[in-house]
Amino acid sequence: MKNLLRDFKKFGGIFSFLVLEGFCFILIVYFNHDKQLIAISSANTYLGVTVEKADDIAKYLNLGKVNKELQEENAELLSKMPNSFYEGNIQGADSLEMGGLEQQFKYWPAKVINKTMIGGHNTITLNLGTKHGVEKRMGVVSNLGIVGIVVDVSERFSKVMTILHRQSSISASIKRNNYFGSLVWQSTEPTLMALTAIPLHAKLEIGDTIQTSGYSNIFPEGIPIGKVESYNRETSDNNYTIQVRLFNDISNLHYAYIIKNKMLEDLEKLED
Amino acid sequence: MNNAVVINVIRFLLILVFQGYVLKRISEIVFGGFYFEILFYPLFIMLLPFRTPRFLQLFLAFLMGICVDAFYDSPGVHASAAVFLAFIRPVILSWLAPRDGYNANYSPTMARYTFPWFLRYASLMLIFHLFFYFSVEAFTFVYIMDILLKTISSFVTSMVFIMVIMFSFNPVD
Repeated sequence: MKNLLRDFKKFGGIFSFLVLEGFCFILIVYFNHDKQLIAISSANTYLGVTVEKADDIAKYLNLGKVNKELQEENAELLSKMPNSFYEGNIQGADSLEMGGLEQQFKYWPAKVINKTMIGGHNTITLNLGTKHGVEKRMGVVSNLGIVGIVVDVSERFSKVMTILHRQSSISASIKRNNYFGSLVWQSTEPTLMALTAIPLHAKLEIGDTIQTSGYSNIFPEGIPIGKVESYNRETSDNNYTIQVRLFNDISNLHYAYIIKNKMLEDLEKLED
Repeated sequence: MNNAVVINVIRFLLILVFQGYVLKRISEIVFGGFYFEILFYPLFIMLLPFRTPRFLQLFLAFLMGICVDAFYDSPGVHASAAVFLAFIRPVILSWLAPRDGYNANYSPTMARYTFPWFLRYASLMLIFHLFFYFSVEAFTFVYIMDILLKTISSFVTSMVFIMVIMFSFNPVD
């Protein structure tokens, strides 16, 4: 017993260091696997109330710029509306008749109240929650492109896994010829992403626009994402990997739109 | 004794609030948050009194780290770096030990051990902390150039803040 006490005095520091450090690493690894289950990661959702207050002060600093962005956004949204509609008319019906269009995608304006833009797991918190009808797996866009997907919802707030996340993968296509692949974030730059799995027979040009494909049922078709900056062929497979320069910079985001797909249930019933 | 406990509890809370609400925002708004992080909370671990028991040093560092993690939404990353920092603190202190050793009743501050000494001490502590933090955050040494670059750039911004605070308050213990 005396020896045990003496040894603890001698090695207690190293022992407690290893225990605490081990616990930290369990947290980190567990977080990488399934972060939704970790209480502490959603602590942000609950800290949200106080963080929101502090954020309000920060917002005054760039109100002018935000106003201008919002105006541009409204104009753009108005001109973009048709892709939010489901075309119910069959061939031959009067194409000027608007009665055949049924609203498929609905946009809710939301405010960004917290951002964690450090490292490979970038998330943001929005000020809408279950109270307002937000659910998991809804898409989030800004006026300049897509932002991410809702992964966690509390009563008043929701957490968004941005496209700048190692686990994020978005279905995107080339506007000119409709070849599609998945858009992933491999770099450390906040405005550079990679579009993988584009077949070699697709003809590519630098500057081609990349947009959402609409196959994921989360985002409507045709939301511009970015431009082709360069492309190269992976040696191991028969695909191109395209480097995409994003139009929007998520690290400088203040407002976003949550998208609800009203026909999601209908679609999933069919596809399952 | 009680006095030191009260001082450190207040210091813990103030530094945590300042780090979580102010500095996180500043580094995001002013620098974009990618290369220029401002990590100020290591100052709490740096300033713990010499006589703090070893286990308590590690535990307080862990507590500080996990609280900062709650703000940064990164469970474990800051905590592991803070625990590491508390672990190597005695080593760094022994490198910089003055000829007649440390007074166990003091804290390693500017007022007790002169400005050049504190600058060396804070620089070494901060470099180790930042390097460990960015390595754990990347979780692989594949991005070693990136890790080094972030360590150096964040060192500059963090050091400026630590020195500004030290000069304006100049705590004795």
